[in-house]
Amino acid sequence: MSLQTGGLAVGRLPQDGMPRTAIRAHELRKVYGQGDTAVAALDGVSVDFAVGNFTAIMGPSGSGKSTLMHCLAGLDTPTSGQVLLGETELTQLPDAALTRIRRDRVGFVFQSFNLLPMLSAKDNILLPLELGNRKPDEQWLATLVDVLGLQDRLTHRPSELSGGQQQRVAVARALVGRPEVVFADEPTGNLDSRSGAEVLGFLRRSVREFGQTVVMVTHDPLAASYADRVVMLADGKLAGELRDPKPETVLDALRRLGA
Amino acid sequence: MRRSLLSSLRAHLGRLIAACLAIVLGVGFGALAMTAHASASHGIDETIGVQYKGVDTFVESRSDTITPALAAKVKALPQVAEVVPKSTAYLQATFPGLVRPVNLAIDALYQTTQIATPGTTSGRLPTATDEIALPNKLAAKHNVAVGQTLRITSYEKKSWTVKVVGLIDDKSAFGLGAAVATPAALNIFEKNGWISGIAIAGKSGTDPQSLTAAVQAAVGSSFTAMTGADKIAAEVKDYTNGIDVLGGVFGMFAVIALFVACLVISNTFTIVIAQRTREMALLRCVGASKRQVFSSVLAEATVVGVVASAIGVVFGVALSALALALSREFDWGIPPVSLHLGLTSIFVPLLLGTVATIVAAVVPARRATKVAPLAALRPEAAPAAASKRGIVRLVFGFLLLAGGGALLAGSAAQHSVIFGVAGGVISFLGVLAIGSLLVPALIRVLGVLPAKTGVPSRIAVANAVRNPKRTAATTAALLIGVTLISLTCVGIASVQKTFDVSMDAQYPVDLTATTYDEKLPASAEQQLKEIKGITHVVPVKKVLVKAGENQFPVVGIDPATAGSIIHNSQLVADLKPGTALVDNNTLYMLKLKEGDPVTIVSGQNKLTATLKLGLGLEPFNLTTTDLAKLAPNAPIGSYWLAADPNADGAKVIDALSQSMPSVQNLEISGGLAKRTAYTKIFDVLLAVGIGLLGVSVLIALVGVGNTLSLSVLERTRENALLRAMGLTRRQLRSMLAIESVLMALVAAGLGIALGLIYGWVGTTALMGSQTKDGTVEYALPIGLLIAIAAVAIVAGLLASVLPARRAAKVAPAGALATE
Repeated sequence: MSLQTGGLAVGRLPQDGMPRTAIRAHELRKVYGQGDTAVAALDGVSVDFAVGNFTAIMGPSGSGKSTLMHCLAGLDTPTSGQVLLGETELTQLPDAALTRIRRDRVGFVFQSFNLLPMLSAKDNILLPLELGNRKPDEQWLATLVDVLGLQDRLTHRPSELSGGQQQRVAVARALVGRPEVVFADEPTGNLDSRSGAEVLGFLRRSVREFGQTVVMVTHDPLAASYADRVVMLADGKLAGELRDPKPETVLDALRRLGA
Repeated sequence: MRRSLLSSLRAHLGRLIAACLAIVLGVGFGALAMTAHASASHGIDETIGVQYKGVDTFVESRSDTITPALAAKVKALPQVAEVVPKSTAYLQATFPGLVRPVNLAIDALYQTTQIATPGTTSGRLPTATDEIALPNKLAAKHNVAVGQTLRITSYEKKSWTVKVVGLIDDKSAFGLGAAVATPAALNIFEKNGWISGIAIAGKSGTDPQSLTAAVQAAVGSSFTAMTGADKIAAEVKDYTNGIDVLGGVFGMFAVIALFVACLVISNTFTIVIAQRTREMALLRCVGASKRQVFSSVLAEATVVGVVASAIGVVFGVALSALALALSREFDWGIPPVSLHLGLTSIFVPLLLGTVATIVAAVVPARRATKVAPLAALRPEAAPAAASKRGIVRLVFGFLLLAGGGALLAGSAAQHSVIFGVAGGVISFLGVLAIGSLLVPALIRVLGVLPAKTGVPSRIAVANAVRNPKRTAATTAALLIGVTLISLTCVGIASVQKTFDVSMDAQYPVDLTATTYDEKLPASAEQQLKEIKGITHVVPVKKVLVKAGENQFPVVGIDPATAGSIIHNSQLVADLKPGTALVDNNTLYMLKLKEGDPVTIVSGQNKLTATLKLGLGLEPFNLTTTDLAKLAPNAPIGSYWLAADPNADGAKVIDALSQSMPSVQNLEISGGLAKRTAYTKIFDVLLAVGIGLLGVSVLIALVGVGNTLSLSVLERTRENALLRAMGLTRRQLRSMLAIESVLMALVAAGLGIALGLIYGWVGTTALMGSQTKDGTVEYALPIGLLIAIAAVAIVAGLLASVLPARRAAKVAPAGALATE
């Protein structure tokens, strides 16, 4: 992936003009329980996420949005169907291989408890790289720290950081290894609106300026409006999507789903 | 509350099993000790009871010798039915295959109807004066069967041939018993032999008390008459004194094990409560009072305590039955006893175990009452920040440490054992109190190395010091065990080394084989070298010389080979031409003092030598060259030998005393017999000490495992996050293993260091007053200490296995759970 530090690059297009797919789900099913008590959290979901795109997954509680993301990120194994990360089929991989993929090819930002309490901010940022014995790209690290405004906070422990700062550290950690996809699970759920806007703004910037691919689960229409595309989920099935969402259009779409 | 108690017991069974394990081990050990002790005492009661069966009154000497006339006087009393004087003759017997005779005690066997006589396993009891019955074990040792004849010799050199007509049943006797012969035979072997007492049976209808009073009146105040029951009690007491001491030691170790178990239980309950914070809060929310929460935790502890203690008692009794059965099956040199179950040996451990569990649960139960009802409503809080250390406790700890240290120093200077014990206990309490500061600091120091190897190790080190109080409490249990084991090893090794050095001064030579008026065979040196366990043989020439007014036997030793058999380098260095090494008595007889010249005369030859004190050798020692100047043809009078320190000393002495058949009287002496005896005692002490304390280490490791399990539970989200970030299962497991090993290593290192200090100070306090100049030797049993550390590391690894498996099962998606 080439680093583009300037200008807008909305969904870099390959030569043939078709957007490349970063990650793809095909006929994903995830069933919990057995027999009469079986519940399908995902019921045949097929969806593609293009490289250099910021996608929000939305849906009411229990719609299966978190399960979809867990399956895409290799955190959970679907009952049937495939997940393709680039050329790699994830669903058949053993735990060790999945672990390596999470470490080297995927980044995460969670709603809360993103950081290890006993490590400094810098150690937290570098954690995935160090786990994989990879050397950080110092210039890229400096850029991230600079853009995220973390220069003075690197030696601090998480308990000495505000919620917004903690989440920015988490974003830096997710991006530092230049993963193929960054997954964000309600990244603003625990933040006040100003800090939340900062984090969302930065996620969008990483897509626009650095060509990052971001998949975010949220239930907040305002958060979703930062994305290029919104995928709606209801009862474990795809329930439509929006391009270039605005808060009002997202809200309308959600209302139509009956949320 | 009862229903919630039962369901919570069921729900947390897994975690409680860990606590139970500690109780089972502690209580089981106590029950084992008490049962073994009760069985041994009971066995002695029975054995001695059998020996004095039918005896109503027993007469012992107080200030006069018991004579046959006295026995006759008692027999004449109207109430008396039977009288048995306990007379014994001390003779020597020549067993087949032995070169020289060995000592044999023979008891007189009276025909009795009321008073017990020994039973036989084969043959019959002797009836004629040329018949004898041998104890079974003695006969087995020397391969003697019924029908064989033996040559027995008295000290007056008279000898008789007797026929072995039977073997005495000595299955339950302690050690090798005496042979028996008829009173008439005994009278022939040793006229007016020694009578140790008179056993008396009264006519039917006579009360033992009044019989004893009548006998006492008849024998007078030079003798003591006591009832048979009193005699048995006195004999039992003689035997059981030793066992009671052992029982006390066992009891002490059991208390230590129980104390360690208490620490572990308390820790485990804290863990269980911490896990159930929300559950407790919910109970409070729905209306449970603080009191109800408190008593529900205590009730849980009671159930756990009773069940685990009961299992422990069963376990302990089963183990002691097994041990006793094994000791009967294989001869372990201890008296065979059968299992005796007393109410105390069952209920005391049961009660102690239950009470200990409840006491250990009080603090965690109080903590449970502090859970606010609101906690049930809050989303799961992030793991608690590091616990506070408690300044008061630290200050108190340092004060204890300083005070204990001062006491220890005082005890070393004053050779006071009581000061030493007090100082040890107080300073150790101090170490435990500052544990929350000391242990994390040590873990950080030790953690520097693994932290360099990567992030998982760095996190492991950080995790190990996150909760200083818990880490300290966990290591405390292990620390106690390791300290005591190290203290035992170091103390025993140092005391033994001190003994060795003082033995080397008293008995510089392991063994000497001497003859007085006979000629030693030419092949003697070769024969002696061939004895297994003998490493060096040095011939020593001997001649009678005149010095001053008196005659002295003087020996000549070759300085070149003296070093190989004399374990005292000072003596070896002093042995040089022109010097005569003498003992205090010789100096006194010469009326000279050290440094004076002495002129020694032998026939025409004269020699002047400087006197020097040299203890532990012969009274008058010269070099072989000096002796040759006095008497060129002096014969070899004895051989001085060095024995392999690892050889069985008793066997070497047995073999040596049966060597050189052409010599009639061979005197064997030297320090080996004593050295063998005390080496054996030290070995047994060491083995027993390590074995007993090992139990508390085992319990402590259960505790380490428990703490890790709690940490794993508390850090579920952290571990899930790490897994999501790309930490492999294997890395996660090794992370926990490192954390566990770090704790174990710190406990082991600190324990060994404390054990060294306590062991050395203890040796000084104990032995300082025993040695001549107050100096004691400090041993550093490196091998043992390394073994202790190695065991701690391996055990730490093992303790992490189960928690690590559990941790590895955490789904990486757990970190995303938002509740």
